[in-house]
Amino acid sequence: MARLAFPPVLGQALIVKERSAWAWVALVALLHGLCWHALLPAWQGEDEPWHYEFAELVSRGHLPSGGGDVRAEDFERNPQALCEILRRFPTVERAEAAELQRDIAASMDRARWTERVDFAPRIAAPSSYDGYAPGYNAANQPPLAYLLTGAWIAMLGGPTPEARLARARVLSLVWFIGTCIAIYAAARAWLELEASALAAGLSAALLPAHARAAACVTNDTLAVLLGALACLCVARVATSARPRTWFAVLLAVVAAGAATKTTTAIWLLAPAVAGAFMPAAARGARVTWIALGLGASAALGALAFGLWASHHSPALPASLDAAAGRLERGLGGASWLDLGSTLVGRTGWNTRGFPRAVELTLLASILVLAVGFVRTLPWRENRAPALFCAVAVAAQVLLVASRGVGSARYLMPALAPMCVLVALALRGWPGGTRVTTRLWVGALAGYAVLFGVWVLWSGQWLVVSS
Amino acid sequence: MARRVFVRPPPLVRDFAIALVVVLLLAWVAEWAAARTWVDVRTQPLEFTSGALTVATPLTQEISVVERAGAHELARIELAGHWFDRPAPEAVLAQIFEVGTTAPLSKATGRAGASVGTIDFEFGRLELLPKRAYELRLSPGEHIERVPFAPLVRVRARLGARAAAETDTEPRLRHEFDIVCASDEWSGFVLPMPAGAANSARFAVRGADEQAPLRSGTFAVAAGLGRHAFAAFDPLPDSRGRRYSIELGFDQPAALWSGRRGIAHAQLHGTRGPSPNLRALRRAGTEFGPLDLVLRAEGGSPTRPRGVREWVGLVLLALLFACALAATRRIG
Repeated sequence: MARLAFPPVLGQALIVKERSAWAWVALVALLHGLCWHALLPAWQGEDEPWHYEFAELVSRGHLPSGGGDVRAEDFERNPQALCEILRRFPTVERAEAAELQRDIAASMDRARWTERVDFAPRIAAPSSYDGYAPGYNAANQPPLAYLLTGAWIAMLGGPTPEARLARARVLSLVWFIGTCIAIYAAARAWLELEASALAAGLSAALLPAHARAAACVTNDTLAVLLGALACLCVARVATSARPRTWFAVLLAVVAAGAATKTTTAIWLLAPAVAGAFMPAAARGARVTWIALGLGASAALGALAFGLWASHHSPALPASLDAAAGRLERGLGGASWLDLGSTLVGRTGWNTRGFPRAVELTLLASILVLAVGFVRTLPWRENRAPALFCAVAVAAQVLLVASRGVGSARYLMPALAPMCVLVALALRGWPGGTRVTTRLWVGALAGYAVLFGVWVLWSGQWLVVSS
Repeated sequence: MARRVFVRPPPLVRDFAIALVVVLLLAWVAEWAAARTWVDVRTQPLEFTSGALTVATPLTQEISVVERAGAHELARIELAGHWFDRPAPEAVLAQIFEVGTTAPLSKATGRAGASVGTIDFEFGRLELLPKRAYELRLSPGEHIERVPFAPLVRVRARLGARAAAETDTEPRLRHEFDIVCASDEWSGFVLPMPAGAANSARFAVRGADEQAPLRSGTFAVAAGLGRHAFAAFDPLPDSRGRRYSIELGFDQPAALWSGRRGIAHAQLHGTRGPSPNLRALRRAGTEFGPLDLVLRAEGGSPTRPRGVREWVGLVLLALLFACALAATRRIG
């Protein structure tokens, strides 16, 4: 009897039985990132034009500096976004910077940017994108992500802004995949059980609000990666046979995070925590490691603050009154709603998404997870990671609140501890980790598909114009 | 005789096939649901070339989306833009014509929309046929000569209170800024304002390097969210491309802003540090765009431009789902 197998092309190409778990996480992250690359139009990453501009100038050989004073007459004559760039890049001629801004604005116009962003003014391509969104710029951001993206653009090139943007987005995809793998590895180190590690890694890979970063040119993506790596380093300090090496790596990662974005600020405390987590064999003197960690945190914190202040970071409040005002706004109901809404996922620079009722329903899953998490608290072996991750997430939430604007992308540098907490919560539900993990990942994958079709595919594309 | 037997497909292939069907169904439902809601035809923004609707110069706009998407019943049109609150929306008449004809198929008088600056026109059920060209014509209502309108001045946040005051929460009484006019006959402006109490203000419009105001007056600002300050004055002839300054004096402290929330804050601190004196600077070069006007017609089905990339995106979504399930199968 002849057996006619199912057409083997797909089956043999895609089925590899012994593929390791981290590779599956990477594959799922790659596919989700590619979905966003296919479905997200140009310049639809939040603040993407400004991030791209910064990187593009680096790709042309200009290096950013801390920035000096700006002459009053320059501000009288030029758009603010241009003035800020000229301040940050002393070697850039005004004509070159203005031309780049015109090119980007023209590209945004070709991509019908104003029709996809509901708060955008309905104007033709302005002479500077300052006309689209007055005063926006990325020039006051720390430089690391732009230095890397600029080098990437210089390497790959591209004939048009659209082509160069698309190639620059590929680097974000690489960082996104790296983040998911790092989160998988961190959960594997903390929780040991592969099902839990897979749950953490796949949660990071399937969350639409995170996957968006895979297809945008933004420093947020690198900040999330470095946050995940910092979490991994802390876990490895606590569990690895070479804790000193991981401690050194942690210092480098935290420093890189500070040079990337202020939202990584909570990780400045990671060396102090890692010092306390140092295993007995490597401790030498426990107090010594704690003191070393505290000292490293303080030194890195001082350096980070100096860097951000010299770059006129908008994240630093101008006064205590201003900080108090921001915190008041950040703790307000509207800010929490925005945070939840963007965590569920939105497009069109956060102007389009599911209806509010659907968003609230989806957010209720956090309560379900919280119940599972509470049930794990009595388990002794989970206490260290549970405490560490819960404190890290709480600190990040407080950081977002202190900024006064609720946005999930500010929360994402704590994505790794969030995913570890999710994995822990799945352990707490009856039915066993394997069953709850499969249910969770299946539900999350279904949600990613629903979001991709309903919000991204349906919401970002336009009514025909002619 | 050998029999042919089909074996089960691998789970990944099976899941992918099921997911693809589900994704395509979802896409179809999403399109169907979108067809039930407003059809947004903002892709052809209305461009005003003068500062007023007059009998002699009505505004016309082709409704091409209807032409492309097949027969529809056009029920309602909403014009979202920034108009003077005086005269009332009832002063605007909207008519639907078949292109090339003179008799309107339907007409409707404006009424205040759901939000500030919007005007709704109810047409009843008006059937529009495929492959025909229609146009919307806006003109003053009966016995009205002229309906002025105002372009939206997109004020730079740092001109507002948050940027200019000592702290974020200390709005200013006075604001002053320069603009370049994009209207032929500039006759007013609209200033977006954050939530606050009722207020009133005096304004003065001056030409560049001129001391004496060309136009001046007062206006009121209603309390509440999403406020706009409307200021109207007699048209300034040949105003396009010229520079003017606007001086505002509020009776109560007031802030002006635009754009998404939070930008005012970022704006302030983005310019602090080595340049503290910048807070006091006036801003030049703020552009007037065409009136921020949105035409949306209810009914019809949206026809969206889909390319290979978008369909590949859907297939990838299905593959994503199948692979996520395959990954969990590792768990056993």
